Amino acid sequence: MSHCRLSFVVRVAGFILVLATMLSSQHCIAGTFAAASSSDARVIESKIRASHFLSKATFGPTEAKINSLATRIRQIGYRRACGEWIDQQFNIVDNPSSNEIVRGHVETVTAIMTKDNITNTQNNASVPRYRNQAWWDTALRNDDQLRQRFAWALSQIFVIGGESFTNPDPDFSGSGLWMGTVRYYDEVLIDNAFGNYRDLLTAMTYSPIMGNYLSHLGNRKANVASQRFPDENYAREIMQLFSIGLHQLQIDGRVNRDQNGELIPTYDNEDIKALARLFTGFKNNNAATNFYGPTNLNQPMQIYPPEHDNNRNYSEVAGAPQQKRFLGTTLTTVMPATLSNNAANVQLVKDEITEGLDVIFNHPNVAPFLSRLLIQRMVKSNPSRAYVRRVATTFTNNGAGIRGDFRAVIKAILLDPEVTRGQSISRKRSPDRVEVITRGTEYSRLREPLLRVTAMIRALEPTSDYADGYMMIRNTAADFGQEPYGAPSVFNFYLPDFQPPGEINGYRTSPQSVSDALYAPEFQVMDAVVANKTINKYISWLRTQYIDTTLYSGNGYLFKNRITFNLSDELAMVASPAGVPALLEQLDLRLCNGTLSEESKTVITTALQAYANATNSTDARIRLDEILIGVINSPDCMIEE
Amino acid sequence: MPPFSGFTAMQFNRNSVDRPSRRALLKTVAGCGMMSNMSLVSAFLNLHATQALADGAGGEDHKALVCVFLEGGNDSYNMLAPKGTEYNDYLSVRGGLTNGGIALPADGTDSLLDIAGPAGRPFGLHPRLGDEVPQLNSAATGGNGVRGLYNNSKVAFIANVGSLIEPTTKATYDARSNLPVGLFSHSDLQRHWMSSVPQDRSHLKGWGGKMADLLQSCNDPSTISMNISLSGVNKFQTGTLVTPYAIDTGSAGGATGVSNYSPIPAQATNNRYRAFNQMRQGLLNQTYDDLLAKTLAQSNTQSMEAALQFNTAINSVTLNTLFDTNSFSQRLKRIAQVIGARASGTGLGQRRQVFFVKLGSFDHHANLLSSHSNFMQILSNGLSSFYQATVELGVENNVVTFTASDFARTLTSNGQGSDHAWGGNHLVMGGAVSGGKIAGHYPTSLKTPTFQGSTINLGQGRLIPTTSVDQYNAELATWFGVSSGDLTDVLPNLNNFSGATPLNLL
Repeated sequence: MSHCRLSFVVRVAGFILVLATMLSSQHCIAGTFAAASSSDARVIESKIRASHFLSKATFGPTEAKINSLATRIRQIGYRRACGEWIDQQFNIVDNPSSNEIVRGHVETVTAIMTKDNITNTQNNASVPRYRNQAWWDTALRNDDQLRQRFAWALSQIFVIGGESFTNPDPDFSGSGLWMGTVRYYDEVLIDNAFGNYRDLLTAMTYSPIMGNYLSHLGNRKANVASQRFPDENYAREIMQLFSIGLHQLQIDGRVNRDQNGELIPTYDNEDIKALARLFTGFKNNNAATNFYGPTNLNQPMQIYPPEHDNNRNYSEVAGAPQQKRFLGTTLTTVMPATLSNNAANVQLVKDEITEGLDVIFNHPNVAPFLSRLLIQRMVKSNPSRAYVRRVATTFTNNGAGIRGDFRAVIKAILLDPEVTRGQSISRKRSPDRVEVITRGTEYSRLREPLLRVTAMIRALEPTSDYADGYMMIRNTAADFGQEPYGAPSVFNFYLPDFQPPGEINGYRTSPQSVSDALYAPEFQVMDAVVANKTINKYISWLRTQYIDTTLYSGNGYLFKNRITFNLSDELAMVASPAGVPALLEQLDLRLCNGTLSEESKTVITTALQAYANATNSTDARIRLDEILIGVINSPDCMIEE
Repeated sequence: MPPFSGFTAMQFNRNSVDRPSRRALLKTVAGCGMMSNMSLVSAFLNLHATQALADGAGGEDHKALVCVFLEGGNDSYNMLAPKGTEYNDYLSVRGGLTNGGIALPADGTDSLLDIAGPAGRPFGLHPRLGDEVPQLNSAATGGNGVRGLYNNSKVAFIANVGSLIEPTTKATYDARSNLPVGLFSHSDLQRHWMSSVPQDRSHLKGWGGKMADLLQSCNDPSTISMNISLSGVNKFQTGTLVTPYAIDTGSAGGATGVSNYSPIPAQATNNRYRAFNQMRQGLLNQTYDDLLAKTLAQSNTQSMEAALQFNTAINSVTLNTLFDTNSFSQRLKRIAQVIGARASGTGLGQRRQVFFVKLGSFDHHANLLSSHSNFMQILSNGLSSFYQATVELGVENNVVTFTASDFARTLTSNGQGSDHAWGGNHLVMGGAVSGGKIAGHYPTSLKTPTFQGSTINLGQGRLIPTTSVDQYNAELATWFGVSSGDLTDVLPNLNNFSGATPLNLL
């Protein structure tokens, strides 16, 4: 049994161009949705489009959100409706109103902890886990879904591994050390998600969490006599991972090559050494008048000018240039013979850091490098060159001469025609119906494990038994291979170029693609153990229809949260076996954006006919639970277009 | 790999040391135990490579390496302490026996257990390293736990080992020249032990994973990894092609299977499970033209079946050796069962196996003496039962067990325990081990520890390692079958220590 019906090719054979495209890649009929009339078909079509869009732009579509966006799609068209939706999301953040939840992560952590009467300096291993709980609550309940979703994408590029920061001891600011990671999430990622990449670079560079994680906090200028040189960690990673990448790129994401066909490095060790000199003199934000003093992970690092490289005593190589020169640019900030710890010199050092970050910001690689990574996190694993070029061009200039404008970049990513190219949705007559045809492979992506969970919960009308409705989970790493704040290293959960074993390795992409290899990063966390544990979690959640989490235990406290799904309508639908097809269509719409194939529906229906075919409550419950488990864990649904 | 792959380089990380060399990748398809490249790493390593080749000539072709990770930083100068004339400096630097001192007594109740060290130097093992479970009835331990194994030459110690990039002295330390990143931090030093690349905090692979990449072709083709972990996914066992297969000590073999999985749906225990299985298998067995969906369906099917196959193989193993009831011993027992299930056919078809198990936390800033004592007993009970289990399975000469740890701890006391330090002592166990000796350089005075005439004390008894983790690992890897030509792919810094004296552990 194959998923592709080649007869479709015949049906559209009249369109030569379409046929040519079709023959170059796979097309599969995913789902067919029955419609009562042609106008009903139009409603269904708009709902599928809305659901598909919201699955990229949020932590998962809900029935209400699908319906409201679908209505606008029918009124003003898909692209305008989605553009309007994005503008509304910007507006929620710019002009928050009291009936919308637009909380940051620090605020959410603090609110939950206050409710529990726990302080963030309490010495219990559960305390740092409040950041996970807050992450889940913001993902599941916040109304600024686009900002949260985009910040989650940013968190997988500008990575800090939270496991390095679990100490609840108070730092100089009085907050628990671990709280610094929550501030990083807010002040570096959330606050800049609808801002500018240049501001993110500054916030990240001065972040004590990043300073600690990549060790430029406490980084001292060279002392040649004792053969001590600045730490190069941050200098390397800011270029390799946070801005320009290893190799020169074209605006469409393709690599440049020299006359010998070799990749052209963007920087060498001399660039790193020079940049490492720039990132010296950062100290903990405290009252000490020297370079040391108490740790502070909750407030931006301070500059201590005497330990900043002032272009003297800089190199072990005699006669090397005194100025800091990297990426082809020499910094021009003039440094005095002695940098003292005074306001003027602090400003001077900051000016030089600004100048250095500008050099990185303006490098031509930044736009294609980050555009591809952001497309991978938001939309698809293997974008075309044209898609990357369109987004990168917007990154370079938002149309008003501004570079690095994330709002423009978000629109470019989500409103690009390639977003919808993976599945074509068409209305048919006699009988009235809507057909979804998926293109597959280069157009698809394995859903991120955590996004699968958030989407499921949001789609199943969740309620919480916690005060004020907070919805929380924690400790997902073992079962899903992914956890908020849980990246195992600065290289995130998976690499952008990961290829799982099997046919993906030998596949050659179409010429339109950025690369001729096919990538599927999310497979990296789905090993033989995680795969089984993941489905076991879904089985346990969906057969009980709730998620129980013990949040905090110890010091005389015990906090639990139960998130319960409201599935009464769905249960009623399958009170008799005849209701199965309709429920499958509805779940396909909410959870799979219309990609559940007729063949898969037949597999599910047949299994239930064999083993749960009675019109009684026992079989009805089996039908509901097992349909949910089957659909959510089906390859059709786990792979999104 | 196609020549025009835009972002390929990132897949293998930024470091050339992390990228499997072309040769290394070619070697993965080469025959098991093949020693094609005998280029000189150092003379001593080649000697061992030749020995390993000779070992492969006779007997069953099977080798298992077991990493026991003492998490949190083992206070290993109380695991292996000096006696005789060197005892007084130990006693003094550890602050004595009372009033917050953390030394162990030389005689009397619970005193250091005498063993013979190198050059006639007497040493003492932690008193609990003489323990084992009652009725173990092991000739190898003689009723004396790890101490018995040492005396019967089944255990060797290695002194003052730690993560290094290159040979390091007090002077190069003071100059901050080529030091491991994040010295004295748990997360970094654990990573360094596992990766053997201490200059890099972001190294994605461990040397156990890299070894498995090279040697997995020794095993029957299988979906079950040759790197099996009793303590979850870890860096040590993660390579490019091989990743750890995490099992536990729960019932039914230890692999996490899919709940209620039944290969024949009709045979499941009730209608719900029958429906589930028919649905699940039906969905996974469809033909998918989307390559991602196809890959997903295949790998999910493999994961489901691997767990079943694994548990079936393990459950067929009979093991009578007594193990302690604590989780560490039960994990070692599970490892023994997996080794027992190594055969082709009904078993796992594994001729090379790497295991990983953690014990801890050893982070004894406080409560050192009593808690460390408890862990030493757990360790001794576990290791002695495990050794006896390998005897029962007839594989004691094919299995090498070794300890690793973040770091050792300060020799001085903080009043109730000790803090993070660096170089420390470790043990290797197995029939193939050249046992009953202490390799490396155990300082003759812990009060004024020196190496080659210079102090190795960084203050408070933080000792600069005099043997690198790479030297230690190289002997284990060579025994395991990594050729000398491949050693630097597995241990990129090894050449920096080519002038060092061989440890001759194996």
